[in-house]
Amino acid sequence: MTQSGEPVGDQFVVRRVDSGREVLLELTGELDVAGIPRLSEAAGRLPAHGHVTIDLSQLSFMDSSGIRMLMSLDLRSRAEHWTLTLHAPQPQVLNVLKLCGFEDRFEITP
Amino acid sequence: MTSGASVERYRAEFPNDVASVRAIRDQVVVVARECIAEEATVQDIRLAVSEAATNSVVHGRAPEGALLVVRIETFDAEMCVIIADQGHGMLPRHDSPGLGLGLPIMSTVASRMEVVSPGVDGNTEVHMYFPLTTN
Repeated sequence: MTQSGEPVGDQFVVRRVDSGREVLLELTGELDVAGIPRLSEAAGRLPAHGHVTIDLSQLSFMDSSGIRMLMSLDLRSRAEHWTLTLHAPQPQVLNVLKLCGFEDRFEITP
Repeated sequence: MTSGASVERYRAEFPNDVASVRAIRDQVVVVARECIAEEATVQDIRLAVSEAATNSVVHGRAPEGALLVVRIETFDAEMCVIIADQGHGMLPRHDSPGLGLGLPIMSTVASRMEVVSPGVDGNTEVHMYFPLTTN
């Protein structure tokens, strides 16, 4: 029996809010390899000398595909001169960051 | 090592594409919750399965129309989740959506992990074992 690729739970959704040089990326649902193109597109152009907050409070799951995306944004922030904060990661997401040894690489706010 | 006879708890095939990663994760978690009381272990399985399915889709070098075969077996004290792809072994990709973190994560959260190539029907199989704690 071949199962469909339809997920059971929440789809991954990214919402971007721009306020001058402040950018908020709100991630909802589960982030895996399938969601990376959507997040890459949403994070396409970010303001130099600005600040980017990634709100993880509604992100219920992330695997190493998401870690790579966060690492890529961290590297971009240094090259493009903007700052990055991760906001309110849920325990699973924080656990993956710790498993990969990256929890100290990011500024994380509760 | 496992002991006693194995019981097949689940078997299904999925298209070898990125959309299947989520579907496989969801289905395996449903079965894991029927067999395992510890939610932390269920979450470990969820993460490991996501990594294994991603590796198969991204690195598996599977031909067009290939399938992923997912099996779950239980033994006396362990659950084994098997992800099999119809590819030709895993190779690194320069444009990988991971950081080479998938295998280390899987081996960290599972009790143990084996890559069998070739496995059944010549597929490349990842076997991940987790402690079985009954509800």
